[in-house]
Amino acid sequence: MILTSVPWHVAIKMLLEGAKMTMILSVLSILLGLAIGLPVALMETYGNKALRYVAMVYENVIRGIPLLAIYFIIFFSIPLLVGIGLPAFWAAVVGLGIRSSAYQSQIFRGGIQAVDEGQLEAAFSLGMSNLQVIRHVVLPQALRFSLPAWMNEYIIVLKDTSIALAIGIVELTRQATYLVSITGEPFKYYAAAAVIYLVIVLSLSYLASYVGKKYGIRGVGGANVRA
Amino acid sequence: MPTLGHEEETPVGTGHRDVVMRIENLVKNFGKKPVLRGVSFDITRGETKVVIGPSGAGKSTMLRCLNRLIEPDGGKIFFNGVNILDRNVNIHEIRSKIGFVFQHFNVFKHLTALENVKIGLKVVKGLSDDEATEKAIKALKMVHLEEDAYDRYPAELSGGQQQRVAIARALAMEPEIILFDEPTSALDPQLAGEVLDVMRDLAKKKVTMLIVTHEIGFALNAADEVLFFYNGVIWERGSPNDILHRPKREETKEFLQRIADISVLQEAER
Amino acid sequence: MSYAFIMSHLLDGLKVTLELTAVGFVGGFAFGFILAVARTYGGKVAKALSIAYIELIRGTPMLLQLYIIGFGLPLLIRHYRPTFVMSTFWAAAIGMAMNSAAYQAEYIRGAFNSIDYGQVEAAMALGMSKWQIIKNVTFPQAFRIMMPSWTNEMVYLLKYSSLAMLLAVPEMMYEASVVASETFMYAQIYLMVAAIYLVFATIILQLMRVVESKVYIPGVTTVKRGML
Repeated sequence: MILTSVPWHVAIKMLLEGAKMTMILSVLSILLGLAIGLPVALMETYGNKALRYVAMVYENVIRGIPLLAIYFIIFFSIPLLVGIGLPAFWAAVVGLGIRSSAYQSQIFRGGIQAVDEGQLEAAFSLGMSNLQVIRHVVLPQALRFSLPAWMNEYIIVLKDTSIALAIGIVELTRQATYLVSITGEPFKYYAAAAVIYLVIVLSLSYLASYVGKKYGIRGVGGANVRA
Repeated sequence: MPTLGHEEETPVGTGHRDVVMRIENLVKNFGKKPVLRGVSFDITRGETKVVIGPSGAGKSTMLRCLNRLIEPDGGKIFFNGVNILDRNVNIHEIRSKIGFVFQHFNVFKHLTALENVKIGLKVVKGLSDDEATEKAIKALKMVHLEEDAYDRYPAELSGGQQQRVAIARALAMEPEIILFDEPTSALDPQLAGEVLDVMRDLAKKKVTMLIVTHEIGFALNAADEVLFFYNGVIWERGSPNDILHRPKREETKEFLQRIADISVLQEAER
Repeated sequence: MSYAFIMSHLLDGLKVTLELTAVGFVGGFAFGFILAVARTYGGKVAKALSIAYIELIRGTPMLLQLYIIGFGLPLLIRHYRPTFVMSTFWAAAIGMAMNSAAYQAEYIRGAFNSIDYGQVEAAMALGMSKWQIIKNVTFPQAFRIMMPSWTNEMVYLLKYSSLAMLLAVPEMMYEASVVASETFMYAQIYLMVAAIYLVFATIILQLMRVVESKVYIPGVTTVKRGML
């Protein structure tokens, strides 16, 4: 039984708009995750006991909570506690960004630890300061080593943008479900959405494994394999 | 045991020699590349036979054909009178009578040393736990494994200990012959020495063995016959002294010259 | 409104959350095992289907999959049987199991592949049959290697069971939102719910750590492939 009929070009436009939102959300979130995750990783590797403890707690707490809960806390709880709220879009970015940062800090930690200690010894022997060693010796290599796992994390973030529909974000999954609910035709729209996701995810996966072969080290990154 | 009923199958046609295994014209190709081009020889009970030759020539492949870990493309392998390449043969029973010691030990990582030696006895031969333990301990004593190692896992043992466990695992099955595939190549000279001592001991006890190795010193003092494997066949054969000191063929001479330096060094280190 | 009222609702939801997680994990393992066998030992068709399924599931969001099963599938069935109603719990549970299966299949395959072939050769050389080899050599090691990924998967399913809320399954997140809208105590309730998830994630981690230490054998551990 078809409830409303939607012309195909309108449907495609809606789905693509959803896909666009998915992409924007995923890119902003992964970058936020990077901005938080890398410093946390550095804190955890080079910080004193207190900093290390804070970083560890941060990681474990964020990783133990569902993304949906993080979204609700940011979108509902925090405004009530603090007085100001974020619009849904930014709440979504911040929520996913924070969640991703906890996994990214693990990835970068793995990358940092993969840098061979001998190099640090050599750098210090030259007279470099701590900060210089990190900047010129550790990070360039650590980031290269982390790249494949990081791309993997991006794929996870991309798929989890779907959860943002719970706070009203109009992304791809929401568009598909909306179209299904108003037309009563499940197969078309879900299939189309699935195809769009697959195309993006599979091409990113191939890119990630190509990059992995060129730069990665097996086992480095402590990555979330649940991609 | 099933018999084939044709005249080639009586291997004791060589007088009163008790032949454990007779290999006739073994052929094996990997794709287009011929690796075994008609290998023929036999092994008498109690004999220690050593096979030497250049790496990658096919010695490992040949050994693996003898218990059908690899299926040859042609030829016959008689084990106690039966052609084991025949389809009707119970290969698991045959394998339980042929011991195999691998270059990389292949001990079972999730079992202690003692359990490693017992498992074949329990699972393949159906012995009770007590019977298996008794035989296993006997075998472990034969390889001189330290008693406090019996309950350790392979990850906690040295390479030499692991290989000795592997030899005990083969010995405990009371096989008619034990095949060794470069048993010391993965060990550093000191640990290799322990394993070679065990093998010399077994040779003295007249355990039937076919050993592929680069250890020329061992071949000299423990082998009854040495086979030089080259170009997919047994190129030359004879007593250790004959082959190693008076080789007749050019290729044998060349090979021995090339590894002479290495083996002299290794003997010196021991 | 009393915290007791809130807690009792949340605990009702917790029960459903744990049920979803359990069904998802066990169903995922069972189906994942079949997928792994199909992919390793199956004929051309079985292998292709298995790979296609795994790539399809891994390439799309779990939420989309849950919607397809919880929303799209009933719609489709109602084309033929207008009175069809599906239990939302089972829609979510099956969706989670089907999702988990794709990942568990790869964990299983990875674990079995990581066991060096030499040990299998040695077992063959002793005279063991194929089943004897699986029972005595490969399985005992594969199962220990897989354990960390089981822990990972259980915690993952615990967290993602919250998505079932969007299918109106009365699990913990759903209960939380219901109580929150009734009491307007949004702030506290969502923080409480997050804390409960954290507690149970930690319980799972600790329990599995104990189990792993009990079956630990030195030298038989995780595949070095960045598994959690």
